[in-house]
Amino acid sequence: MTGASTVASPEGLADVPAVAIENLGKRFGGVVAVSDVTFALSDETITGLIGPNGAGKTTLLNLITGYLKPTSGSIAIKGKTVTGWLPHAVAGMGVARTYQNILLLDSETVATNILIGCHGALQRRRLVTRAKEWRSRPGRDVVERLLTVLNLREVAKDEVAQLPYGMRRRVEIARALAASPSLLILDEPTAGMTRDESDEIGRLVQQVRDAGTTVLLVEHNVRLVRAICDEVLVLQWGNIIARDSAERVWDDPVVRTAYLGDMEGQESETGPAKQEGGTTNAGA
Amino acid sequence: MFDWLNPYTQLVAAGILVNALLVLSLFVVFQCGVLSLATIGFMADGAYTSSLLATKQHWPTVPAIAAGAVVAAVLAYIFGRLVLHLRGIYLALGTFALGQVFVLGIANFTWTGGPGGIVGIPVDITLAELVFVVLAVGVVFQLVHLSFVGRALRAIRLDERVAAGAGINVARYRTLAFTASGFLAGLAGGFEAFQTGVISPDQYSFVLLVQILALAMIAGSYLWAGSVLTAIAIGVAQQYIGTTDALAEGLLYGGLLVVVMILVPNGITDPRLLRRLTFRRLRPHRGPSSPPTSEASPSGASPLVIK
Amino acid sequence: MLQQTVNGIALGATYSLLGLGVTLIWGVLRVLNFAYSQFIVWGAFGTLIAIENHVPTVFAVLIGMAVAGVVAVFVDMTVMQFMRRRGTSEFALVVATIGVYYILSSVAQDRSKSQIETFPIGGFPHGSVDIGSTSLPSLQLLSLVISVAVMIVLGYWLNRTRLGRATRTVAYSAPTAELLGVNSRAIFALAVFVSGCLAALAGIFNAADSSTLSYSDGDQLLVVAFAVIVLGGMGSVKGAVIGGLALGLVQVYTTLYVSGVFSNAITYLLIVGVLIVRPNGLFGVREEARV
Repeated sequence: MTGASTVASPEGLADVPAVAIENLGKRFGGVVAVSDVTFALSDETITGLIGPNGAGKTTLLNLITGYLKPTSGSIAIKGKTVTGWLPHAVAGMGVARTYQNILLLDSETVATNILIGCHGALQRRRLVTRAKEWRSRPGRDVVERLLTVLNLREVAKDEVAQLPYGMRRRVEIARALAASPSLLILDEPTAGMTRDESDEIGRLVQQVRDAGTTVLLVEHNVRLVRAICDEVLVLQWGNIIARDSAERVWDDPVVRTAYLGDMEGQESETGPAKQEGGTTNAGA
Repeated sequence: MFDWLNPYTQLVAAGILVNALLVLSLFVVFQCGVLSLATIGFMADGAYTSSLLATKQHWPTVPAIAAGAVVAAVLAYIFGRLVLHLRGIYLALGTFALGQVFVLGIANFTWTGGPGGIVGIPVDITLAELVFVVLAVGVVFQLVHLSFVGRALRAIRLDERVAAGAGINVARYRTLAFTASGFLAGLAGGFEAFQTGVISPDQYSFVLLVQILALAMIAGSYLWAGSVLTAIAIGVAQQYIGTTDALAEGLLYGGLLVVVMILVPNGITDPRLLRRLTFRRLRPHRGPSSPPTSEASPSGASPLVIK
Repeated sequence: MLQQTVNGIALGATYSLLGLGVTLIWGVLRVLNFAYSQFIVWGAFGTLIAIENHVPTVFAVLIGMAVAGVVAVFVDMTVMQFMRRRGTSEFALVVATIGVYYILSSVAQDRSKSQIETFPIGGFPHGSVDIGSTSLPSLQLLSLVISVAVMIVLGYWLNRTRLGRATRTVAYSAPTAELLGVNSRAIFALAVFVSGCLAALAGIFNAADSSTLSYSDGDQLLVVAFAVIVLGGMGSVKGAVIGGLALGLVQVYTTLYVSGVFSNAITYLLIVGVLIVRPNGLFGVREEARV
């Protein structure tokens, strides 16, 4: 199940993974953020990417989505090499993402923020189609659906800057979904959410996967990772130190020392999550 | 159509509409977050191209003005691709220098008439034609504003990273806006030349840039109509106040620029400002915890706070 | 040829002074200040008025520097300080300085009735000094000596003294500096005052060189200052001096080999060209965008 072997067969479309990364490395000056990462994501799965703070998770996401240029290695999306592409071009390949420190157009309404996510789809349509859709306001259907799905209807016309944190996260997820991506990348989508809210997001992500989207999920909430991920990648110091199913990965002694050992030193936000992870074991 | 106005009023009105076109040329780039100071340079390009075509090649007025606008747009496209990858201050500086290169170039070649400029340009633009052009430009702006293109441009201004992540080709849209800006400035330059009949390089001065910039910043970068109305309102007000000497003009425009930047840095058409003015409803607490920072820090605010 | 090189260096010395002033406010305050053009003019006018009132030239120069310094601090304390406290964008700050420029410029224009005034140079060094086969006007030699001195003092101040370290801390992050007990407001004021003084000095040398003074002299010198910091990299003291000298040489050679009328256009072309090729200047460091 290593990435290298799956990339080698581009002709069989079914074999082409949503993302295949080979020997990816990124250095900031002398600091190695991602050292030599190779993996591929199977289609229509949820893969959790976990690791202690500073392990290089967000850097890895920024490399995949084109916000950073890798120092070495290559990235392929659906069999097409996208190494060094700009973010908009990567997005054009059907990749949508959220950001760790929530990026929204603060002075715009919730509906407009979601509409921005539809841009790629609208842009690709022919001019004639666009002209025909002029009066029907293209993209509105998508926005309407997402407002319902993410329970944002009553704030649709509100400025996002005024919304509470959890809601802002949901707007970001809605914007990513508006692009109907084939690869959805979520960077700590449930940070700062209540337990009920994060469970809801978990169910939503599962629905998204079932509808045919591959999901890459960076998450500190261990309970959620156990509950929804098909597979888990563990990143430490810019290296993948383990890859296994969501249940078994915790048994790996390397992971225990590297990741769980580190978590005791973290702030209260992730502390309870770990305990919850233990208690809701059966549920997962 | 406007025969009932006396010739002087017509001339003033035409000047105001030319200013409105220039303000729109800044609006179109400000809209996507590009602080371009090259507008006056493109205005000079448009004015000189159309005037030279009319006086030396005897082109009719309308094709000459159109050609001037197109030449300015082409120059904007070519140089825009070179400077638009710059950020913030560097972009302002790059576009400023770019605009000045055009004006100085024109002043220093002999075939452009040098510092003396060009005389004898046919004065045959009517006010009605100018009004028609401004309205037509307005219609295009409104269509763009409503379309996904307008939304993309605004998204780029508000957060480039978000725009790029949503598949918006930031570089392409910025180049598009810069080209449109060149076109409008060239158009304004052409109309001005055929209004006054005389042009010279020194009229494309830094002072003119400052005046247009003041109008554009007051209007803000959200509604195109705001730009046009601001240009008209201040132009008319200036007529009534009768400010013609340099000191009064300097204090008026300079003061306005400073005061507006302090009080409403996003201009008077800032949607947030309008929302706050139109319905000041007290909103109940929604959700578990309203983040404490939402009131204190407006979007785009720098974290630099000096106590 | 050698003579032209010497002339270029002498011209570049004044340019270095300009660049040092702009780079100081850029480095500390992160503001591209269009009003700087008027600090140059107001400083020179201050000196002119002092000389007209029979103040000895040396003191007149000091008065001019003080005038520009005080105007610069006043603008910073009022408009800039206010905008910084409200967290206004870079964009708005630049535009506000353009507004301030226009106000100051129209006051200066009104004072001189839109005319070019004669700048009395009786008290300035005249004649020239022969060095080998070349001769250098004493005035330009003086400006060269002063720029080098200013560069050394500025470099020493920023790198070796306690106050200089405080300044660099404020430049890095004002809130952090505050936490460390540095009075960032006082540092801002000091940096702005010094930069105003340098602007005035450059303006005075420029006026003494041509023995005329116009309210619009600052515009061209501002562009020169911008070109210098673009060449040298914004915020770099060493870069400002090297950039100034390089620009002086380029202008002199352009006048010599191409044409005198293009020496201004070449300044703008340099700005555009260097920005396109090396956006952070020849001595700047490249920053990578992060999400």
